[in-house]
Amino acid sequence: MLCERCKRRPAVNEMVINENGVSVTRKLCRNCAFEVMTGYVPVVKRCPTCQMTQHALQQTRKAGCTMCYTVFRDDLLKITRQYQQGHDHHVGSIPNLLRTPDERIEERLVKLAGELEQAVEQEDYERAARIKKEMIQLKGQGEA
Amino acid sequence: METFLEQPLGPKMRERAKLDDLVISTRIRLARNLKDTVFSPVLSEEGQRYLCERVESSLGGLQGFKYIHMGSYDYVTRQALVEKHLISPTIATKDESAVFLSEDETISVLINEEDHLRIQTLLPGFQVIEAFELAKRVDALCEESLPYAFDETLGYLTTCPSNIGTGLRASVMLHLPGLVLTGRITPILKELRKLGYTIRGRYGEGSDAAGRLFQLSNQRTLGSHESQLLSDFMEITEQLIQAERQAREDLLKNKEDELEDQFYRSYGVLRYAKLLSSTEAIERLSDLHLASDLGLLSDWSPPQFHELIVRLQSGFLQKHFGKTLSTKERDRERATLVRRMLDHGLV
Repeated sequence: MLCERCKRRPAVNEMVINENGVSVTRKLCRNCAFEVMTGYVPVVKRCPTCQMTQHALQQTRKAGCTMCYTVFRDDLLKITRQYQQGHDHHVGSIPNLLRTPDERIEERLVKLAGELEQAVEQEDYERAARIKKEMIQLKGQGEA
Repeated sequence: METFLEQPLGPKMRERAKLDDLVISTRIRLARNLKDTVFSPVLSEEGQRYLCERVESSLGGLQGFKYIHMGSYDYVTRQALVEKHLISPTIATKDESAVFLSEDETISVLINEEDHLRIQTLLPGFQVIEAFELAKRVDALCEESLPYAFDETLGYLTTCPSNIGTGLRASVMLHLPGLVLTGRITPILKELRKLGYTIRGRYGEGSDAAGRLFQLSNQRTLGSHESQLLSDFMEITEQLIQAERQAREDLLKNKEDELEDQFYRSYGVLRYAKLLSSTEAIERLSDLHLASDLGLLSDWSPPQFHELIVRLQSGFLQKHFGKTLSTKERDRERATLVRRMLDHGLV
């Protein structure tokens, strides 16, 4: 039988404990029995924003808010690596707001290069010329 | 709303597309959360309602989109939307959730899924890049008015770290009867899982591969650029397509009589059965679809197959008859519907 207090470890003792001012008999594990007898209150790590506890996060393997990724960084990194085949670094696109003007130009240039290739393949030289012109303008901006 | 339920397939899905004999559809999904709102596991019902309203007012101006609040519709209607793959099963169970749906039914922005926003695009055939470009455009629009949760190291933050980073999941729905009938599918499934891909039945988690329809998707969303994830995914899909073509060729060479026998049996069942479960109907239709691909059946197109498998699902069927039906009634109506279609020279 599992401990009725932590519901994780096997129960070994039956004890009368005080729950919200009421005396009840509970089957407890060694750790909980010790905590009840000595009046020790374990420190529960909790996210200040969403109140998610470390224990709940470890059980559900889900974050409660953006702040959880700061408060429980190590736990979430561990879970991330398990899901993501060992990876823990993002190398993909980033929100527009966080991008520098140079990065935006670079990205547009890559896109235009693809379009240019397509236009040439389709022998649409008018469109190709327009794209080329935009690319030259963008490159000018990037250097300035 | 009713316009979305008139037809089993949206206007775009009825069009022919690249490799659509094997690849029924391509789907791209981007998972996004807002940095100033707690995530779904701790978001109260009131918070969910507020999020729906907030996204509605932010994206309300989008041309060509309809806002559908789940709480306003009954379960059968929601189920029919799931069967069309326009919403997810998760969202269908939540009253305080909503979807922005484009009129051509290619784009869905789901609100209050496991993540605050799930941007989803759906195209017929094998169109991974096209579907991704579409999703990115919607993503850029959402980003203008909604503050995304983003971390420099971990990328786009999601409720479950299995979606973190790019938040990108690409999936294709494949019809793989050749691999199933030759028994080659089992080792392939094992291999794909080892390589980090998920492959499962048509309606996702827990569903079996009815009608030899499989959904293949990438598992990893972190550690590679979107373009790399997509090109790896496309390469794997192409290999799978190649294996399916080879299996069909071998079947035709070694078991032509057995195949033809199976097609006629399936045709017979569809033509004369009085009761048809959705699983059986799909299995039999899968046979007809394969027969058409192998040139043994004319007047049959991939969108027609796709349309039928959606039309015969229980939610859509009940929507069609405008009432809730018991399992037996559904099986009877399904059989009648198929019979009538065959009578009208569909096949």
